[in-house]
Amino acid sequence: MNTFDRVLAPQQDAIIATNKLIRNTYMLLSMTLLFSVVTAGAGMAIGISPGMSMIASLGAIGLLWLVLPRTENSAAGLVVVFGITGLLGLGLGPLLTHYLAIPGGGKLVATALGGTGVIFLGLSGYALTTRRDFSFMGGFLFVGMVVALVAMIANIFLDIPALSLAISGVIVLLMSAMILFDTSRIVNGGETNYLRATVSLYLDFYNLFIHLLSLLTAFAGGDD
Amino acid sequence: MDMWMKIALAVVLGIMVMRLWPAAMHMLKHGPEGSNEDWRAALLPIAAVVGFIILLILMVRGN
Repeated sequence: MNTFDRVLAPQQDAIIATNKLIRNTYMLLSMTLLFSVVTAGAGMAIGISPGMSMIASLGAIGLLWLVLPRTENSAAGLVVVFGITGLLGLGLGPLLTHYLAIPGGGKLVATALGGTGVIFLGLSGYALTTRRDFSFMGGFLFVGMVVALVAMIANIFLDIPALSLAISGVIVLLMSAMILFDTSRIVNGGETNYLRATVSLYLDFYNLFIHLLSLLTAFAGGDD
Repeated sequence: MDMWMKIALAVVLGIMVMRLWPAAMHMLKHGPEGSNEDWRAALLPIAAVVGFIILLILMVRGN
């Protein structure tokens, strides 16, 4: 092996590893999104209560915080990822039932889902093709998320529709920026585990969808 | 929403804030800083998203 080959070989290995990570992440992401659609449909068909929906979402958070970090480097991690996304999908059941009961609700849900898909593919594709490093946005995004969460806690008890609308608008923008941030971490070596990468992108998609749906419903004049 | 659900949701969101806060502060203090060009490259697609959402809102309002 000459000097030129010795210099290029590690770079080629890194590029192959990154491409494999990207391929595995997007393949698993599409599978988990489909699985969530199935569990959300099951939740709607069964007619699970809002209480059960909350328990499913809490279960997903528990898996995300407590189980995934311990299993992310093993095959069991794959089951945990499907567990998280399945429970989050199931938790969407009552919310979707509520929106679909609104006049024109089916079109709203379809528009929000299609819009989320277009935004996700556009932003993720932009970060993948430019290969730009968006890690500088991390501090700004995390502080933004903290502020949004505090506002959400306040609005649980205040129940102000205008604040709810503002929170949804802010979260849609934050999740859009998070898609850039998370995708660029995969491309630039900030994230090397495809299970963690999948869950991060899945959560961006999930939150973007919920808050875009809320935003569209409010502006369409529906019950939000 | 029942009061127990409101309290449970607030507690979970509160735990999220407590988990995120140290990471946010660490990233603010030690994270890389973006140049003007970096911020432009990030804000351009976000502006496109805002335009797209306005289009979606006009679509659903037109129904």
